[in-house]
Amino acid sequence: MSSLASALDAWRFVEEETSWKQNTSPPEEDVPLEAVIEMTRELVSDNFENEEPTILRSAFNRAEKFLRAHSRETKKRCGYFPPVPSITPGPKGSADLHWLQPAWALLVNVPDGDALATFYGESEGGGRIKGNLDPKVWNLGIVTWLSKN
Amino acid sequence: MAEQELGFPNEPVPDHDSVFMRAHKNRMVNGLPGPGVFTAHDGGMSVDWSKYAQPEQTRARGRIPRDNAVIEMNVGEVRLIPTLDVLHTPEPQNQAHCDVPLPEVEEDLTEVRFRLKSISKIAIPLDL
Repeated sequence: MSSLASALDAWRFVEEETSWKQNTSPPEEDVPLEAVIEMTRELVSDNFENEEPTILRSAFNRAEKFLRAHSRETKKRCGYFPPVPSITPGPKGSADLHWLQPAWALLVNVPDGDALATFYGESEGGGRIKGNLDPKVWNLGIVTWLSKN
Repeated sequence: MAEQELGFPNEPVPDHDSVFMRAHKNRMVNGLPGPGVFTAHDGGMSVDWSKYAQPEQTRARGRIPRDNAVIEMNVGEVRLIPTLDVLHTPEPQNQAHCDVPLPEVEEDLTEVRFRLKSISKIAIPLDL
């Protein structure tokens, strides 16, 4: 009887340990996205000029948050991370986030300052998406687009 | 002499011709132009008309030519994108110069840049 109680105690301990580890383990990271973000940092500057185009720091920071938020939300809803875009300098120091997939493409432009981001996308079969958004919050339309196969 | 003072005449640019444009290495992705290549300077995108320019000349006009690829677009395909046109605007030092006025509304500009990318081809790749 006492050995059964000990066994049950041991099992509870293991279960609690496992549960604690599950609850406190860090969230899974979108490794390819983080790699692209790191690679793009060399294109970031505090001044913009057309002859040597770069991304203004504040535009890059906004783009970075936008990408992480949409990566997290897509993973939460669909169980997988979305494809990773290229990040290049857009007009006036903005950041161009460009996804080019076999069945669809999407361009999101994140400007400097507080201006809204703008987007345009096309998919096989004539689907189109166009508009603007606040890059500070994740957008269901963009998450839906990013989770297309 | 009088012609030099007046500059070059503006001519209509036919649909079957091409235009060339520099694409800075910071805006290239895996050897192809990113959408950021298609940006306006003073309201219009500067391009060179193939009637008066070779891609090498377009590249040579850059501040650091070797930092640039040159892309080519068919004039008729540019005009198929709503609101876009190719206007011959010769400059004293560049008879080939043309402007492609880009939309001012940001959503429209993003769409136009997306579509320009899809019709562009590489005329001179980046130096490796």
